[in-house]
Amino acid sequence: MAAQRIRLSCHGRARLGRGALPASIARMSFVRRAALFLFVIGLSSPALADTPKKVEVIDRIVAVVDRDIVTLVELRKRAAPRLLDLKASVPEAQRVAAEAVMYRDLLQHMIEERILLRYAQRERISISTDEINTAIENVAKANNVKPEAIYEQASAQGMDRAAYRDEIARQILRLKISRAITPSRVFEENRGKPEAELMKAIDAAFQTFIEEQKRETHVEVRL
Amino acid sequence: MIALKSWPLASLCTLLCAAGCGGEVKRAPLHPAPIVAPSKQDEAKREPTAMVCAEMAETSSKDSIAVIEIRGERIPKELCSLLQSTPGKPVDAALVDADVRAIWADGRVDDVVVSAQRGDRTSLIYDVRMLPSVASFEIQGADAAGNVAEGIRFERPTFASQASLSTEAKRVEKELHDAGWTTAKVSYEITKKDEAQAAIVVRVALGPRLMVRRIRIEGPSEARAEELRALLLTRPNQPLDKLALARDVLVIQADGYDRGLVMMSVAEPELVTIEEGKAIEVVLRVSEGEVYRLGNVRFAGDLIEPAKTYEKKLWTSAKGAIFSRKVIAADVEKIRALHESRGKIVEVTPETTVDPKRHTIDVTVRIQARR
Repeated sequence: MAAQRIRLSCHGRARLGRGALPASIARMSFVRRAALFLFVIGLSSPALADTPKKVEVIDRIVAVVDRDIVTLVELRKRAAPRLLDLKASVPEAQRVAAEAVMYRDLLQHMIEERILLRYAQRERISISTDEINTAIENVAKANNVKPEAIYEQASAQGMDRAAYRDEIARQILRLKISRAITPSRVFEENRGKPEAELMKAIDAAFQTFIEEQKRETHVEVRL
Repeated sequence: MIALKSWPLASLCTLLCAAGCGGEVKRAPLHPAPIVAPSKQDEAKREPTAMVCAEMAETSSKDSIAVIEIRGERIPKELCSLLQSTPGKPVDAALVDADVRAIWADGRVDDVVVSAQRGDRTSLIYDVRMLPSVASFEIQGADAAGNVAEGIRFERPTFASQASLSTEAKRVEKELHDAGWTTAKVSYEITKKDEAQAAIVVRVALGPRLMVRRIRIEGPSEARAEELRALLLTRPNQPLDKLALARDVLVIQADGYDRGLVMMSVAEPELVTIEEGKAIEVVLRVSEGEVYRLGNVRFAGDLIEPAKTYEKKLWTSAKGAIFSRKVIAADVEKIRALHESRGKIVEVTPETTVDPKRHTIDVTVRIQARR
């Protein structure tokens, strides 16, 4: 139906004089007339003076690690491949809850990365471009493809070339630190045992190390 | 490790990381801020000071930024110069992120939230909360100069920042623990006087300082243990110093390498509490292994003399001699000095090949001119 011309009072509430109502509207209940009024308001032009603007948060600080920060933009960028994965594997009804858990876990993972980076800078542990290239070539060889195919696959999962290389660098750094901080007794105690047991012991030592580093680091999650 | 099912990263983990890269983590909830329209109530409450950094009267589309503002109290004008976002262009999340980092790096800011207000035109708004300055700063448990213990100071912050104070408190606490005050606690309190100023009180509770009562070296003979004990900085009846103890482990290892004990390992020192927690016994477990001797030595790379000359005039150890890191290091220095005397700057690197069956070490001395 055609919208009625509405004169707004200074409080922004429309007042419709009874005499102005068409018969069809006059016959409606109050609730239905109110709903119609709101629908009409929704279609109204932007000429209405007090239309609320949409506000979109672009970026903010989501965590502080010592004097470094993790931002919302950074978190969202890292979440992109995981979101694709969730979309493909989680039913829509459960997706919001799954995404919330994913973001939470990812943020904690990024905080851990910052802590490890801080340790690496102190101990002068670094990753070279050659090491990253070698790692990617190894992955390609293991899958009988060329390195470019690896980048294409990563891109299909929401990670551009630079992001993928950054992820590889982070994983190599994590490995290097793990090897550096594992006490010699772990290797001695597991000498002669199956490799899986040694790897489990190394992982446990690494988790202990991370917890120790967290205790010595200022970490603030800003929800 | 990213929980992706695809092979690019899963394969990498298999190749490089049989240990597994990281583990499960249990956390508090987080969800990125959704797009919201502020209620009229919110808008009525919020009246911060707004500083217009840049503005464009007309833009090509309503999605292009028309105005960039920084809102908050006590905002320094120079914050505008840190921004890379500009009017006339659409909002670029990457540029905004760079702006947030630049504002944070300024050091005077507590928080930043950047939002785009979209309607007839787009406004890019940086809501900034400045840190309060320090009205007063007190350390309970320090001397007049601010020293908490010998050579350990708590630095006065410029601004009353949780992050800075927490980082400094943890640093000082760790230094105290390493110096033997193993139960020391450092805490702080920030009390806001008003939006612009805060009072800070730091409390340091030292606790007892642990003494090293004795040092036990397990593994080598008693005579050898005495030799090693003489090398240590850590001494009985002195306060525990964890940094000195870490250095002692390296010194023991170096001594082994100088005596051909190249497979020597020193376990992480064990600190055994005694005397009802007031003192400790330091236990160092040393596994020396076999003595290794020098095998074949060859010289390669940018030589300036025949290899025989290097072997006869610059190389001290003969084949079969006990391998010594110190002697080899001295010979490497002689080679480097010879090249330098001839106007050539070189890197000299001894590459070793260990034979665990024969207990010998072959050395290739690689000389590389710096370019």
